[in-house]
Amino acid sequence: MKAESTTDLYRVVVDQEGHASIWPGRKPVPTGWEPRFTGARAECLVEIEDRWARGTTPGCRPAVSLGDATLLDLFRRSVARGGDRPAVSDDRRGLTYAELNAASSALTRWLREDGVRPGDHVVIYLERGVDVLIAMLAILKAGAAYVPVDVRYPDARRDVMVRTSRCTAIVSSPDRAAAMAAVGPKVLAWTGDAGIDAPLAAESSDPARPGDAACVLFTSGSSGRPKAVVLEHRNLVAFARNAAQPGLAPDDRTAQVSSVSWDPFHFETWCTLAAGAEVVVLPAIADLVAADLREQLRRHRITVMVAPTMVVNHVVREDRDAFSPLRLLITGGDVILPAACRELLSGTFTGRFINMYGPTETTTACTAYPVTEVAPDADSVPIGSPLADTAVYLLDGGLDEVAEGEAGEIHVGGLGVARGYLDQPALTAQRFLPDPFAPAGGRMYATGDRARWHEDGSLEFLGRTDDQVKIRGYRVEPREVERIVSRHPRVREVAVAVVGDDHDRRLVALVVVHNRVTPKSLREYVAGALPDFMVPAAFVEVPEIPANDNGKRDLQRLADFARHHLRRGENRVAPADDVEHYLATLWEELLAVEWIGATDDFFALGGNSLLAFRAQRRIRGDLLVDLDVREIIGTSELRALARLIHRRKDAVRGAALGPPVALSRDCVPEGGNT
Amino acid sequence: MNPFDDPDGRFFVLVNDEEQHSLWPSHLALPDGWRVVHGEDDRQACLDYVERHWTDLRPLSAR
Repeated sequence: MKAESTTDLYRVVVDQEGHASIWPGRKPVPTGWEPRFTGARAECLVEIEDRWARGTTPGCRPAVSLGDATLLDLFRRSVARGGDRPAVSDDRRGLTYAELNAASSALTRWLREDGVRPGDHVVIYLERGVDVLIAMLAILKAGAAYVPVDVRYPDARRDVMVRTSRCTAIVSSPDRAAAMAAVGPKVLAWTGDAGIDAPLAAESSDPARPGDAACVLFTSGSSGRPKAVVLEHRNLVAFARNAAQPGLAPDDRTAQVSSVSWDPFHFETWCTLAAGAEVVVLPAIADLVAADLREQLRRHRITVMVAPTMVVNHVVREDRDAFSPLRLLITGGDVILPAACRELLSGTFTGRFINMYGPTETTTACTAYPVTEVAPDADSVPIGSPLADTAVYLLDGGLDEVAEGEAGEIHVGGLGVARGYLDQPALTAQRFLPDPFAPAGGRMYATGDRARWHEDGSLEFLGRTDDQVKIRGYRVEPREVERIVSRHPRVREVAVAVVGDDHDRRLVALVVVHNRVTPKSLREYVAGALPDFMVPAAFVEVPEIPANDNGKRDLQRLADFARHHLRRGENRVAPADDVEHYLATLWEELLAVEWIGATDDFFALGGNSLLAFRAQRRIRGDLLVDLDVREIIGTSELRALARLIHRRKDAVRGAALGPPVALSRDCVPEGGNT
Repeated sequence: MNPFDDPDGRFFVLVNDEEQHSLWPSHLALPDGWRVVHGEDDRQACLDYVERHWTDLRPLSAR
């Protein structure tokens, strides 16, 4: 990264009341303000945020009702309609609506006794399961907002989330409570089993209001810290009432497979609870895919599922009927491939298939498109039209609506527009704007996504206006990853490039180092600070970071540079026998990397569990060797995998190995460059 | 380019009845239901104003 000159330095200045502001370093500090910190602009902004985070959360003052519903109203309606119906189950137990209501009320009493007050933020740090739903409801019943933190995230990431959330308490399990004690405020070691049989206290004291915060979620932030998005009850109520259209019925069973820290979790839980249907907590999607998705859906009698776009894109290419047991399949998070839709719709799947779009800041989704057919010549699948109570505007640089067919930035108004970014007022003021098309005082969110209107009123997604990318459906700011890598003491300079096409994007970190450092140690360093989807697939040591003539980094050039370095075959060991040749060709196709050698590592070249699943299916079909996906994941060196295949073939004598399969152009995914 | 990202642009800081703040390009017509509380000024000065004055992001009706 370019070194900043001294004229680019700023100060953090603080007044007598503790307000902090940023001030140009070359100007004298104004009267009444004291300098506290000097650094680059971005560092000063981080410093200001830290100062805010160290403050205390003010309590919630009484105010008038907005005359709308809260999430608890939606839930209680379902309790009243069918208290003895199943509400949630995991592999250990299930609760009816009445039991879930009682269990959450019991926990609410405990939270209150422990000092949780209306307006507080409370972290949920629990394994996915029944307990998470009890905790969510309990926290809301206390008038507080829940902050769901995925227990699989690295400790450093967890700590940043906990700190950034300004939580006053953490609900965790006894086995995790000790580790959390050092991280944040009060930790409640909750066993999760109390209260189902406890008599229900009067519920009238419920303090939650539609305008209160209900949930805090995190998205990647280019400043190097995640952004905390505050969603209010009315945001989630509008979503839960609306995104489940065509409505879920009480006999529906929705799979809960999403990370609790990710958007789809809200569909899985709130849309289901609002409909009086059942949330069925299953293993993570990668594990389901590895274990035969169709069989898992059938065995658990799942009727509704949100599958990330990447999962649909990959799975249907190997098994177009994998989703057949579903009545409703919703996908979102990335660009769905037309070819994947055609595969899915040409099989035995007879349910409804909906493509959804929306950033966290507009409460998970703001448009939906029922995919019923995809024309043979279509090179994209629409993201559809706005949900009810949602307005979508495509605006040009003058904030005027563009004409039909022209590209504009997606701006979203209506009930889903979140409160903003916790403790980041300046950032909020730049992205959450006055909605000039709505009734007086309304707000809209500028998404940074581009789209155009089709004649039929549906939207076509066209990409980003900035550097943000989706990796396996998660939003990632490459700058945030760069900031983490650059903290490694041996790294002098880093640029994170994005390689691959739309259906298989991955990050590659180009690093200029002070001293020798292995890619492995860099990877471990970054994996200790960021969730796996943000960890670069490869670390490449380079003598310098390429820049354009103006000294600015050129994203396209970075990507080309990264690809070139990934493909250089200096230490390549040529594949030896026919199985190694077969695997090299297969990997080259799946990983979109050329010049694969016998000692290459599947994961180091960008492999993931979905690609491992596809490799397993192809090996089964082409070589008639039935490996477990976990074996492929556990045997990531090409030669070792070839040996495993030989051993299996020896064990099953008689299965003839055909010649290496020629991979024609037909095997290249259609629409891969959409 | 999104006009809100223009580092050389001139801006107002607007506030609505919920005391929510926003940046607003000064050459555009003011939206209904919002009033100017700062500016016209450069972008950074407007952001600084917001950082100083919008210390409680809760809408007024939810405080």
